[in-house]
Amino acid sequence: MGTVKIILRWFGICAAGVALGVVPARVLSSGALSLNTDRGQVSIGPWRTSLATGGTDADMYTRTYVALTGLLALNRGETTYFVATHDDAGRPLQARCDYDVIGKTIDARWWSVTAYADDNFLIPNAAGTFSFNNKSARPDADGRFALALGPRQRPGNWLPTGDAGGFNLLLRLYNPGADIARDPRAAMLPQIKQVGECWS
Amino acid sequence: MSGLTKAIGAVLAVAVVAHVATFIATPHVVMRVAMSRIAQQAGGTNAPFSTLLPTDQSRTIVKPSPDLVYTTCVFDISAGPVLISGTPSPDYWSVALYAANSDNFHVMNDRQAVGGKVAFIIADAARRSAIPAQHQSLPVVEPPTSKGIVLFRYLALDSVGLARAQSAQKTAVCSRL
Repeated sequence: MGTVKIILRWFGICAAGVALGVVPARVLSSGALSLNTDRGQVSIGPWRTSLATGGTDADMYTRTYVALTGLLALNRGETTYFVATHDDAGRPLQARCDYDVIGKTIDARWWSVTAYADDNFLIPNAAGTFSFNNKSARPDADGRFALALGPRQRPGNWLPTGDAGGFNLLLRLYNPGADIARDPRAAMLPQIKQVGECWS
Repeated sequence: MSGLTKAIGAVLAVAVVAHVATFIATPHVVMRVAMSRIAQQAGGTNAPFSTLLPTDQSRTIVKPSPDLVYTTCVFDISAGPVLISGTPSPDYWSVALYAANSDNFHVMNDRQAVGGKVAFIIADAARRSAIPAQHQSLPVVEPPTSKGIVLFRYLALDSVGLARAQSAQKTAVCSRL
C-alpha cells in the first residue's frame, strides 16, 4: 500500500472516530445530556436534579451538563437546584403557552422559581419580571402559592415567557431543610399545568 | 483479522478517546471563557468585580439569579497566596470557590461567619510559607487548580435588601498577598 493510501486510510479512521465520539454541540447543550447522567439523577414530577451538581464527585457528563447549562452552581449541601423543561403532562415548555405553577412553600431558607430562555439567560420582557421567590410569590396562610406563566399578562403572579420559543424553569432551594438536603426526593415541588390552548 | 475488522476497531478506539476527551475538556473550556470575561471586567486576576441585579442583558454567566447580586473574582495562586474576605449581608450571603474544571470545592455562608466576617487564604501546600505573618492565623483553603473563580452571592429580595447587599459588596476582598 502506498504512503498516500495509508495516510488517507488513517485520516478516514480518525475522522470517522471523532465524528462518532464527539457529541454534536447542540446535543451537548440540550437537556438530553442530563438524561445520560443516570447516576444520582432524581425526578419529582417534571422537576429533575442531580445529586452531584456542583460537587467534586460529579462524573464527566454531569460536570459538562452543569458547565453548559448552570455554570457556578453550588453543591447540594448549600443549594438544591431543580430544573423543569416539560409540564406535568410531559410536553416541552413553550413560551407561547400559558401555565399554572401551583405549590406549597418549600422547606428552605429561601426559594425561587426563575424562567430562562433556551439559551439559559433571562427572558426579555417589558414588566422586568424574571422570577418569584418565597416572599414575592405571596403564599397564603396555608403556604400555598400560584404563579401564572405565559406570553400575555394574567392576573396574579404573572411570570412572562415573552417570545423565547422553548424555555425552562429553575427552582432554587437555598439552605434546604435537613430532610431535603439529605435526600432531595423529600421535597414537595409545585405542579406545572398547561392552561387552555397555546397562542398561535 | 480482516482489514475491515481492524479499521472498525480503530474507528471505535478513536471514538472512545474523542468522546472522553470532549467531556473532560468542555468544563475547562467553559471555565476558561468565564474566567477571561471576569478578569477583563475586574481589570485582571485577584481583583473583585461587583455586578448589579441581573437582567436579560446579563450575559457573563448562564442562569443568573434575579434575586442575587454578585461579586466575582478570578483567583490565581501561581504567584502567591490570595486573601479572600468579606462582611456578610444580613440576608443570605455566601462565598464559593470553583476549580478550573468548574467543581465547587469550597463554600461558606453567613451562618458560618464568625464575628460577622469571613476571611481565609487560598494557597497550595508549596506556597503556605509565603503567607505573611499577620495572616498566618487565617484558615487556608487548598484549591485543586491554581486558577479558578471566587463568587460572592448576596440576597436582595427587595429595595431594602438590595441596599444592604450593595453595602456588603463593597467589603469583598480578593487580593494577592
